[in-house]
Order: sequence, then structure tokens, then C-alpha cells
Amino acid sequence: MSPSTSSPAEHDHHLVAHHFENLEQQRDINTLGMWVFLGTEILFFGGLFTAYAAMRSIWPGPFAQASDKLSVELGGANTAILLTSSLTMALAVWASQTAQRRLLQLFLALTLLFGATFLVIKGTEWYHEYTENLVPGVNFSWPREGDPVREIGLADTSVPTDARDPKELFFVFYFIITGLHALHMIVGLAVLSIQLTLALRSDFGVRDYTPIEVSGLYWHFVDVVWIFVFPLLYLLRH
Amino acid sequence: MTHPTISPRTYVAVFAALILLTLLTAWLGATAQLGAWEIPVALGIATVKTLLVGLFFMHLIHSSKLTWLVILSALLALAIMLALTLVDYWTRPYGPVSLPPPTSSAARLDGSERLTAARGSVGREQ
Repeated sequence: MSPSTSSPAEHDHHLVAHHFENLEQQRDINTLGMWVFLGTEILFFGGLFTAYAAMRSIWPGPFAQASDKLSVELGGANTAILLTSSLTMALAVWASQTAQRRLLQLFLALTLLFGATFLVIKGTEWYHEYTENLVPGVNFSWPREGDPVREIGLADTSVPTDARDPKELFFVFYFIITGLHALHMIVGLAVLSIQLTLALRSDFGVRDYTPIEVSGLYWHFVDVVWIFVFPLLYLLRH
Repeated sequence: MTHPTISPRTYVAVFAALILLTLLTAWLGATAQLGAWEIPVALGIATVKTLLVGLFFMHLIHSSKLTWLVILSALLALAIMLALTLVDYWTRPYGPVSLPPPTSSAARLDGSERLTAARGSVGREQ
């Protein structure tokens, strides 16, 4: 620790937990801890994408037909909204690093707003898919078209899975992947809401940017998951 | 050691690149006929976007070697899972069960009977 950086560390003595040497070490370890968690998250979503890739390689045609039911416009708009929320999150971390309290509050609020907008659009998509009878296990049915064996009694859940339509399997993946992604968004929104409340009430995030940096890493990760969800589920149709 | 900050100007430039790549991937998905190249191109664009988010928004460009080690370990495990799983699926005669053509009586069977009939016919072929 050089003298020039030890003075703020001494100043922030009350911020450093007793098992850390100084704020810098604490910051590095906290950030590393979030990255270890994100490593497990890579494998969590990776498992879903692996299963999706295996099934899609078996039934490319039905998966493409099923994917055609999704709205590229809404999915694309949500991609742009989530990328914008990542920009405002990055700017919130920058405001925190440069100790600009008003900007930190503003960018956290904007990130929450874009995140909530994403969930509202995702919710309208799900509702639309429900009205189109595309929810497996609830109301899935697909109009008959030439292959009667596959088309008879699709909504009949007594039919063993491998005799049912692979298009239904696509929607199983769709709802599980987008549902778990939305769950991550909700967790992120909860964390950012708490941090915004603290930042409005105190100098939270201005004394020490670590908490904002760490929740920012999580937020960007959830964005990265969607960067893969959008092309894999919405776009690959040929 | 203090962490250098990345300027808002850089963040906005990265954001602009991310939006352009999103438009590119949506345009390719909607209009272009890439055939077998569709999946590699889409995954390639998604990987470039991930690198932009990771390097700049998540500050990996300034991160420690230990952080990189953690990420690369996770990616190595992901690569093993993807490769071994897909190699298995892609090298088995695994696919849709070939069902017998429907007859008027087959159409009246319930699903489990139909599947049993299908498995029976597969068995007879062997």
C-alpha cells in the first residue's frame, strides 16, 4: 500500500471489515466473490443452453416453426432496453467511483426503470403466448398440418413426452429459460431498489463504491444471458 | 493499487456498438439466408457483444489475473459440458421415433397405446 492511497484507506477505516488489511483488499475480494458466483451462474444457464442445443439439433424444423411464433420486435426491443439499462448501470458505478451522489441516484433510478420496462414487455409477451395456447402443461395446442400422428391430442398430457410435439418442447425451453432470466431480473431489481433507497438516505455508494460495483457485475451478467437468449430462441429459424 | 475508472464517453461508445450489433443480428435473423452459417454467425455476434460488456461494463480490462482465472475456469467447465453432451447426442442414432402411418384405428388409440405400437414396429424392424 503506497502512502498516497493509504490516506483514504485510513479515512475509511470504519468501512473495512476486521479480517481485511484495507479497503482496497476488501474491494478486490468482494469483487472476486461476485465473479465466483457468476462462474456458477455461467454453468447454471450453460446447462439450459446445452440441453436446448441438443434438442434443437434433433428437431431443427419443429423448433424453427415454434420459434416463429415469438415476436422478434418485442424481443429485439427488450434487448435494446436491457443494453440501455446496462449503460445506466455502468454510469451508476462511474458516479459511485467519482463520488457524485446525485448522479449515482439518477443512474440507479434509470436502471430500475429500464429493468422494470423489460419485465413489463416480457410479461405482455407471456400473456400473448398464453392466449395463443402455447404454454406447455397449461393449454398447449398447435393447429393440424399434415402430420396427424404428431398433431392429434397435443394438449392431452396423458400422451408420453416423446410422442408429443417437439414444438411443445421448444416452448418448455422458452418458458424455463426466459422465466429463470426474469427471476434473475427481479432479484437484480430488488438489490438495486435497496441500494437506491440507501443512496437516497445516506452517503451509501459514495464513501465506498464496492457495493454498487458488485451489484453492477450481477446486472451486466443478466444482460449477457439475454444477449444469448435473443438470437438462440427468437432468431434462428432456418 | 487503485482501479482506473472508465470514462462515460467510452461507455456510450460501447453502448452504441452493442446496439449496432443487436440490429445486425436481428437483420441477419430476419432477412439473410445464411443456411448452415446462421448459428455460428449469431453466436459469434453474441460473443463479441459479451466481450464488449465484460471488458468495459464489467471492468475486466482492469481486472486482476485471479478474476480472469475464475472466469476462464467457469468457461472451461462450460466447454466440457457443451462438447461432451453434444458429441454424445450428435453421434447416436437419436431422433424422432418413426411412427407407423396413421390408420383410422390408430387415430382412435390413446397416446400410450400409440407409442407402444410405434415401439413394437421399431422392434419388428430389427
